[in-house]
Amino acid sequence: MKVNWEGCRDMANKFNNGRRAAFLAGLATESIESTDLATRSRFNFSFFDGVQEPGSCFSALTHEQLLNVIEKIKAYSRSSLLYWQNQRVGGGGLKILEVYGAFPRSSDFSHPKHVPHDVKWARFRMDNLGRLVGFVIPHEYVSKASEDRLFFYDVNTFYVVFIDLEHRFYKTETR
Amino acid sequence: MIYSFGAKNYLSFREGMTVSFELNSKVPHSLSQGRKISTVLGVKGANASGKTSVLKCLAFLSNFVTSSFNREEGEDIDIDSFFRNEKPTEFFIDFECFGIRYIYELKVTNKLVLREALYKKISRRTLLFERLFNEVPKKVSELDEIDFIKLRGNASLVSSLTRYKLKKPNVDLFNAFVFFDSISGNVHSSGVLRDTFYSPERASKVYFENPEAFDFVKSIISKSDLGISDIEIHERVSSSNEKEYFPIFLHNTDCGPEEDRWLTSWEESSGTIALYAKLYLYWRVLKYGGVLVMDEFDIHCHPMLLPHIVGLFLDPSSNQKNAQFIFTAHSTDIIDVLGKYRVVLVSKERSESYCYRLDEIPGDLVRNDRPIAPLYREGKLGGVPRYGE
Repeated sequence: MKVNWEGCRDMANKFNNGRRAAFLAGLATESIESTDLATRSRFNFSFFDGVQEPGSCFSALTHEQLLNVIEKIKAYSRSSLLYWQNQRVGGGGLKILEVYGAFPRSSDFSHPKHVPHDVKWARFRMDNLGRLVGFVIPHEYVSKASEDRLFFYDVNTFYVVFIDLEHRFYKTETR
Repeated sequence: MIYSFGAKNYLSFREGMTVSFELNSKVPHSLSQGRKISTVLGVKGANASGKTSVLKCLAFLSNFVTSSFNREEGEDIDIDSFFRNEKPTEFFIDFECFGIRYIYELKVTNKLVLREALYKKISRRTLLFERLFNEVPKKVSELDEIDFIKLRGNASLVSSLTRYKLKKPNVDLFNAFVFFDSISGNVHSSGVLRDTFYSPERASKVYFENPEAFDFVKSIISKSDLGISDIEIHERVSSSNEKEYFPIFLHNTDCGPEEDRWLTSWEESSGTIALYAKLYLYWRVLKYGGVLVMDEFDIHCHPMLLPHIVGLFLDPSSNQKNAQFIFTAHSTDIIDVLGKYRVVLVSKERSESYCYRLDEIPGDLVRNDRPIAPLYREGKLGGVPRYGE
């Protein structure tokens, strides 16, 4: 009587174990290095300025607006800043992330004293009017470390400074 | 050699348990040394997770297939289902003996055999016999004599047939018997033999009768930095007026006269005595081949000595018969000695055990080029005690 030797697979199924399968299926399969974690952008709020009149502080936002900001930030943090710099939105050729460089001359905002003078100013488009204004670290800092050598400057972090609901930061930009 | 084995509804395994020694093509050659089957497998897990149940499975099969005919008719089969439920317990074992690969399957309660089958693989899988209760409806023609034998419900067909003088002795049944008979160690289907069973006197008798085994134990003990330069075996008459053998351990020391530099087994460390009393088990399986099944093999043994004992089985020069060593151990460092292809972890949830080999863990959590023991200690791989949780 001949039986296919591969019939052993049936036997393996017969001796399977649901708890074993569930345990193995529930284990995290990726490590820091195997994911795209390094490329995902980060958002820092330590330079936030909610005092300037054209902008808005968190407490002035409606619940819906606040949720919208957080959901957008969550979505944007999935990819690198470079990626969002190349993503167009709308018909006017506007990018989701625009890096201006210098602080705009024509702006209702002023350069906050606590923000370093040599950063690159930038904005994330939140919706038709709203902008998340802040800055990024210039690329020449990509391999430079803090004085104690413990941390590196991060060119993939967006430092949030203003919430610009009325588009008054870079006034000449098409809405 | 065992390729794989498993059980279902057996002791703490309500569902299935499968343990594999197979090394597939993904295993680096530096680890497999060209072997398709591992010669070593470590079983780790928390206390009461079911580690010993994995070993008992082999011990049960060995005893049942070779010796169940020795039991009285009607005597219970020495097997416990999950919390003694009435459903049958099932086993399989995929093995090789004298270069031929076989699969043995068994479905049994503690009262009788429901199904027993043996397959053989040459180019294809061939059923040699299938027994259902006490009938053997399917069998190869060479086994027709089975029809003249009244099988007992509590005895294996292999065990039964090897007790009869058949006109046509069957080489496959003989091979199966030899294979199951080659499974040895400190685990029995009903429990684990305590260290008191392995007395220095019992071991000394083996060493006295087998000078090669004695050389083996002396070599291991002298290499193990226990301060022992030589061992002598002496005779005496026991309290029951029987001849017995006992060891004297000669030590490296500059103190006292040379003739006083020795200790008895009572004075030696428990670690030394544990090694001395059990090393003959290792010698025997390395010398003649087979499967050594040891529960808590590292008890009384310094963790730094363990790799050397495991190494006896990994090194083709000391393991020319491809003997296999399956064990449980408390040492966690042994995981890194074995690597992910030679470690099975056993866990338990709601009193139900399950097990998995470390290379079954998906993704890159367990890698060949990084230590595994720290991951195990952190609980990332499962199989660790969760005290107080």
